[in-house]
Amino acid sequence: MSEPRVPEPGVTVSIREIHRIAALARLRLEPGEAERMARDMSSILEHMAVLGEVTALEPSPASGVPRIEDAAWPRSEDPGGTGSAAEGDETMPDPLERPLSHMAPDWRDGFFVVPRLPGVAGSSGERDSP
Amino acid sequence: MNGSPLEAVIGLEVHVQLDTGRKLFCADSTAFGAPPNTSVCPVCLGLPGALPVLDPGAVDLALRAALALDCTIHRTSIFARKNYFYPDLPKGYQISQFERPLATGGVVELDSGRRVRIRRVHMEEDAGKSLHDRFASATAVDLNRTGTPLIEIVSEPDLRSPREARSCLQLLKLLMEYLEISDCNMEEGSLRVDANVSLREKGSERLEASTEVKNLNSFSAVEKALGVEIERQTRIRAGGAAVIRQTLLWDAAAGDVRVMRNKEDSQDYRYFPDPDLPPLVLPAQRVARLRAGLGELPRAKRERFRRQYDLPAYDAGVLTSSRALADYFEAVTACGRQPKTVSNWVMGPVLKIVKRGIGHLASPGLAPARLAELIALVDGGTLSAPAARTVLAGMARTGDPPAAIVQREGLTQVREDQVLEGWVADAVAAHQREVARYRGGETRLLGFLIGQVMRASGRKADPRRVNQLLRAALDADAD
Amino acid sequence: MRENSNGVAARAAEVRNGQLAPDSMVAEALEALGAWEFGASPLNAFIALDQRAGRERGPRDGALAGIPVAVKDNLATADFPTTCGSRILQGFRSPYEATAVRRLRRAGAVVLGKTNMDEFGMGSSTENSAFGPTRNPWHPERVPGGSSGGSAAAVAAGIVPVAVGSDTGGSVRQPASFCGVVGIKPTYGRVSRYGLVAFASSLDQVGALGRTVRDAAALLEVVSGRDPRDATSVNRPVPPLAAACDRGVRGLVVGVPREYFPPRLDPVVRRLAERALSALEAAGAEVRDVSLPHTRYAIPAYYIIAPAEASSNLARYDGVRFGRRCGEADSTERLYELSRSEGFGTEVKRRILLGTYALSAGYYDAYYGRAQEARAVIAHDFERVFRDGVDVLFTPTSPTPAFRLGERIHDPYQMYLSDIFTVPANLAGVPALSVPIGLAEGLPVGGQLMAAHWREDTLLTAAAAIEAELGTVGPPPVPAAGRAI
Repeated sequence: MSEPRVPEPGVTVSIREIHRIAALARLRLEPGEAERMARDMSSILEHMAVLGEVTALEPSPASGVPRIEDAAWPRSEDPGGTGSAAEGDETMPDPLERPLSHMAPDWRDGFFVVPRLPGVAGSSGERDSP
Repeated sequence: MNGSPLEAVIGLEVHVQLDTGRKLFCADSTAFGAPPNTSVCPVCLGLPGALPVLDPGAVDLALRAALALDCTIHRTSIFARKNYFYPDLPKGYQISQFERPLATGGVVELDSGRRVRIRRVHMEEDAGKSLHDRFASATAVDLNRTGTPLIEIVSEPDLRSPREARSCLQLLKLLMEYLEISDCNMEEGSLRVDANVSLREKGSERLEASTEVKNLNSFSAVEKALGVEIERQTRIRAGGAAVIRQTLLWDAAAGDVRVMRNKEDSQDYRYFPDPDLPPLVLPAQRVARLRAGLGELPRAKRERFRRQYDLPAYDAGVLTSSRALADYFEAVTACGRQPKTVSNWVMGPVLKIVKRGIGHLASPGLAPARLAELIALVDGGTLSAPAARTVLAGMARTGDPPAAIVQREGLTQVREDQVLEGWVADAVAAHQREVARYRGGETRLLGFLIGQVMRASGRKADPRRVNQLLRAALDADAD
Repeated sequence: MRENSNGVAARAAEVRNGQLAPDSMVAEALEALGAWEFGASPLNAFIALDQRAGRERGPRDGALAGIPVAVKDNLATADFPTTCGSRILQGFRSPYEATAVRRLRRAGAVVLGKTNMDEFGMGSSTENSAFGPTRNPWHPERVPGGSSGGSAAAVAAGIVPVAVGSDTGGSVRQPASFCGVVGIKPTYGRVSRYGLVAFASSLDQVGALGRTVRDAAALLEVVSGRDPRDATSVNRPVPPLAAACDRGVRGLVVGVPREYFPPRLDPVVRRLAERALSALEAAGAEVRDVSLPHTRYAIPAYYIIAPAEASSNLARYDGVRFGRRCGEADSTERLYELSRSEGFGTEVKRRILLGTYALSAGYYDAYYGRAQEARAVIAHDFERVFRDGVDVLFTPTSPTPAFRLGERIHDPYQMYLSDIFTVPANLAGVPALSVPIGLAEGLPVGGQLMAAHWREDTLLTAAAAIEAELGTVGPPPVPAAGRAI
């Protein structure tokens, strides 16, 4: 399978594709909503096809980070060596003005709590994530 | 199936916690064992509007690691977001490096001579902790660990056996400890390892489907789990089936691996450059300064210790296991003491004192010059070796110089025959049964009798002279 | 034109030297607010209000002493909720405060309330708010623009002299244009984003809105400057902005990019823009035609990059640590899906899907990669034109005056096109400003100025000249209480 290098005109986003994307984004779509989104996205992507004409600057931007000559995009040059800590104790953690229990939807004994994750045994610390 | 023997192809992914004491993108402490959700701030909680700011101290440690692994350091590297949902991942993405890592293309050489290529070294933040046994049917989330600075060291699949994988990990650990990059405490998770393993016919260069084994939290787990997994893959192939790409979890209690997920349904992480963090551009000067500051690496130092000080391999290995210890040894030797004698003192009594927490290498009482003075007192006959060990403990405790302690405690070695002969006569008189057995041929009892004399002398008697006098007394009376 | 006596700088000075009671301006603000918000068709400019704001005793000090300020609801405040116009953050109180807000308070300003906005900044009309749309003070059936519509409406209605907004693709300038006030989006990196709830991090900037150029400049000066808590904020001295307003445009080179005057441009907008250019010329500026040839890629590039970043920035709204959680979820996966699906509005979901799509395996190069290349060539256009001697560019801010409520809400791409002239400055990171240039059938029209990086002073010089030549457009008539619409 080769990946398209440029947006293709006439591309349509299928309902199945919308569901795949929605699952990645943890959004649940109602049946009618999925169809509407597929239609909207297809029409929006139609307007994106013009990007296929762009002739990239040489050298091309580094991994998508814009290359703007006039340092509009700041660079971490010699981190720690630049900048003035005019605001006072900026290296300290920003203190929390109210306890976490005030904002947490479910808070017990100092922990955030969520329903038991599927497929995990009782041992702590193991995670089904990279 | 043809009969060609199979060989294992193993690569390691090692996560090392950087010993900066603070988080990678905010200033919270990373001290182990704080009450849950107390080492947190808006940044590592992923609160709306909070932004990461890179800790330059972590960059320096990561660079030291990459330089020690002989990597090419990239002038520009880029932090990327790895997007996935998990309750202990507060932002819904992990800040890592992907297409443009800090360093690539390194190598480490094992004691066996095997060269293991290092594919990349990159920086990333750790996630939090999910505890599944804290509450019934619920998962508890502690975000203290979130944002802890890590480097990931990825090796090429150049290892050929579980034993080799273990040595490689040991070597990496030694290097990280030696360079004071990490304490590498495996129980506390500051050194974590995953291994990729596949089998192929010997001599083949083909890449076979590999599995990834996770949760290897000790050296023996690495070796055992890989052994078990290699056996499992061997059985699958013997049965004519194909190994499929999977992520496996090592269950130390069961001594077995179990499937965590199939790689086929691997997640789509949608990596992209993190727009909150500008590209990390390393001035050449900074890298050069760090390179110069690395100094001699453990392997080179060990070789030099053997050559220059004529030390046995074992001594050279122990003394070069940390930079502080190696420097200490060299400083004492530089005071004019014989290297092997210094080595015995450092590896023995000094390390014992450090281990017991009585003192540490930087204690004023244990200053290299002080230890050299103490050794000189023993070499000159002023102090017996056993008394010297007592003095050393006193030095560590009080910070006083050895001569002062010897004086105060009256530990000067007694070498006058008149006095010694009195103690010898007392010992012979008090232990007639042992004397008789010695004379009956149980010569090993000499040691016991010497011990009695030493004790009577308050460890001040010259052991060599006691030996001679005791022997003379025992043999003479037998005639 | 010299500083007028009603400007915030002059009135703050009166507070500092005791001629004006510290809470008198806050009291005026609350009175104006009552007239606008409690009539038959309330503006709905505020999501949260502090009726007791600034009542604490004691003298006030600082450049904005006693000045009531409205703050867009996507800046974290410890004393008000911070909702971003979203159900998912309904009632959320941030346990910390944004740097820009801290700086405002340190300068003596009084935060009167939090203003309405399109959810997470995604929209150009302030209709995409969980708290209902904001109306345009000039016409109750028109939108105020967006996404900083609440801030622009509050300033236009004379409730506050200045307000804080944020601009990702025009969200300060376009509503400033629709409401007849001044709006500045500074250079990317000029103002700290710490505490600005992220929509698209590489494009977001905190901006200033004001009744006059000088008022907006006074606010911008207070919030500008490097913040060690934002790695993308830059350590550059802030030029004296008030002085820049008095400099005059003699000899200034004003570039007019032809791509911003397409044949379909609303004729009234075109005529007002030409009048403004004549005014600049009359004041001594040199006007020159120029070209920014890659402008047509701006909208497609923007609507890939911004949603891509948003899809990641909005992953933290998962119902685990704060914000809305769906109570019925029996598994963590369902908790995520239900909380997010109930919490986000349609436009936010649309953009999360678009952004997720653009970053996902198989599409990254074609969409996100291409969009970044387009962004680079657009930035290059600006570099070139400024290198060739242009000091400031002049364009319309938006192709049309304020459109009707509901007119574009069902056609996402039509809505996106109202940002067509404002998006390029965000992609290039250059500073830009919208200043009123007249009324079209009773609706304000704004002109946009864009300058090279870090040259906010040049923008202000040109804008002050336009303001002096053409005058301000406001304020709109205060509605009579109970007036029928």
